[in-house]
Amino acid sequence: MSSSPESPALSVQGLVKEYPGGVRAVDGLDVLVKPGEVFVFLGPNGAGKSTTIRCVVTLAAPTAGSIAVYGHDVLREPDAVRRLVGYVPQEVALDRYLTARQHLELSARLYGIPRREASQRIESVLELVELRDRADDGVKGFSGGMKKRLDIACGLLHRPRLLVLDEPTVGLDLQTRYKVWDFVRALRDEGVSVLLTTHDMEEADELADRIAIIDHGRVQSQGSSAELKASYGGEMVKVDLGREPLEEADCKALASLEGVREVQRRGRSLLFVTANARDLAPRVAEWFEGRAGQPLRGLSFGPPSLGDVFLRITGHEIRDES
Amino acid sequence: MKKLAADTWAQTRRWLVHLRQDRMALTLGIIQPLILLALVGPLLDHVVRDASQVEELRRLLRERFATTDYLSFLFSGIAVFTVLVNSILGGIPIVFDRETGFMEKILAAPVSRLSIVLSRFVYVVLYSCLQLGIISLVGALLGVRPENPWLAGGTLLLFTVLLSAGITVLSLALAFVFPHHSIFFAITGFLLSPLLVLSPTFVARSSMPAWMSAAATFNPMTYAIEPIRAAFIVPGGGQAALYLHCALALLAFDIVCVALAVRTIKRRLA
Repeated sequence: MSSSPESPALSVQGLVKEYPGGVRAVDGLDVLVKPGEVFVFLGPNGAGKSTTIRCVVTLAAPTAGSIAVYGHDVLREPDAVRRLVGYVPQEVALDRYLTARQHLELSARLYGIPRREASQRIESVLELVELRDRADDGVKGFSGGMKKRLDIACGLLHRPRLLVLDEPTVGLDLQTRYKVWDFVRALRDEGVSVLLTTHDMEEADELADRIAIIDHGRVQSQGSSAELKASYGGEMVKVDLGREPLEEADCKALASLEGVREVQRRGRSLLFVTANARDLAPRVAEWFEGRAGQPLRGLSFGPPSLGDVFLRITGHEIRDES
Repeated sequence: MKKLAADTWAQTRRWLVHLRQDRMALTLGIIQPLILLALVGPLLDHVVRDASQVEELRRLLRERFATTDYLSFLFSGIAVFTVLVNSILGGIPIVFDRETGFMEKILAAPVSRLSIVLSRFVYVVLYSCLQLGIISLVGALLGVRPENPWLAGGTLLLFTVLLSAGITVLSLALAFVFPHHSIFFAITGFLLSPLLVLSPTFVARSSMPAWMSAAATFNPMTYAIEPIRAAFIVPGGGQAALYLHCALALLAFDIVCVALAVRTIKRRLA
């Protein structure tokens, strides 16, 4: 199958990935990434994000289902897929004996870029990731941020049509994190499709055209950030108690306040779901004022955050990596 | 084929950069076989020369070792052991690439999987050639001078490459099986000593205890050492049948190793 202008950047249908021992890391996942969009996989540890990514970049074979990148099937045409995809793994993977330029030269050779064109592209990506003045230095002496930028440059050198970034900002300082975000936005502006996995709600909110919330190996919900927040079904009033949660009876009393749809406990806070947070907030504050010995530390209200949506879908339990 | 050659050369260049950058490893790698040759060689050579003063012992040495020049006798064993060490450790960078995640970047590129193995083999051969050249030079200075240097050089190259091919691919297969370098080092380190002792490196097979001699017939080093030794010390190079027999034995060994390695690596990369 050849790629056509109508082909989605990525089509994942009914993906199942089972590891020896019967561990099912991905369990019927469906995703469609449109050309030129930034698509974010958001999910807790062990949700199946990285396994899906490994199948997309041909590092793991699906147990069932199909994956196509711009119309090319990952199992039938793996080399065509590899030429179309740029992959930047979660952990920085560089060779400590090579310089930045030698890394890019190796990438150029592995992707079959002609020598003259390669040297132009190397200069251009070095410029993009702001490493031109360190191009001939060994990566041993690079900071974490520089290494990540070089890793991204390696993933971009062959001008992929789909860039896959697995948790690209984990462990980076704020400045580098924002720099990576700028790269992603610049790539989208150039028409490159980006598939990105993250735990970071702010990152997803900032970058994503669309988000898939993945848990238990499946897409639990997907849409734009605004659509996901709207699907929450109301606004939020958040009360910071500054101490342990209230007794069950108090929670019940609060849940019976006019306009309250739902009360959630989250650590030392209480969250109220309502149709109109502005109306509910004074009533909640009044209830606490009437309870001696139960002062509030803070109260805020507004639309739900992406984190609120995420927690409602994935729950509050801590997950281990699979 | 062109793509395979390009992919192989791209990765071989990377290993050559490692060699240039890691000067300590390069220096030690060259010195180590020279220590055996320049220290153990003259030491045992001295003992053998003393023994050969006695006519009966001289006759025995000629019969069993084909020479009374022990340094020339030892040379082929040291040369083959040097290549064996390079080959058996050939998989180490692959283990590190798997540990650091660099291998995943290579595998995510449209690169021939065979080129990963071939690049290591080409590197091991190039590095071994460098070492063998230096060992030969030092050997010549110490008095190892074959009657026919072209035959000796050609035999040295052919049989070390034949040995290296099988051992290197086995090492690469191990590198894809074991997830940590500590296990890899433990296993390869464990294998080196018996391979060295149960080979005709220090003593001709005819002078070994029967069980050791029998064990040496299963050691691929034997089939590299014996023709090289013949080319270096036997007048006229010895019998052609020996060369043919050893070449076929090493080829069969290589075929088995490649089959095992391909099966293992394919399964790991699936």
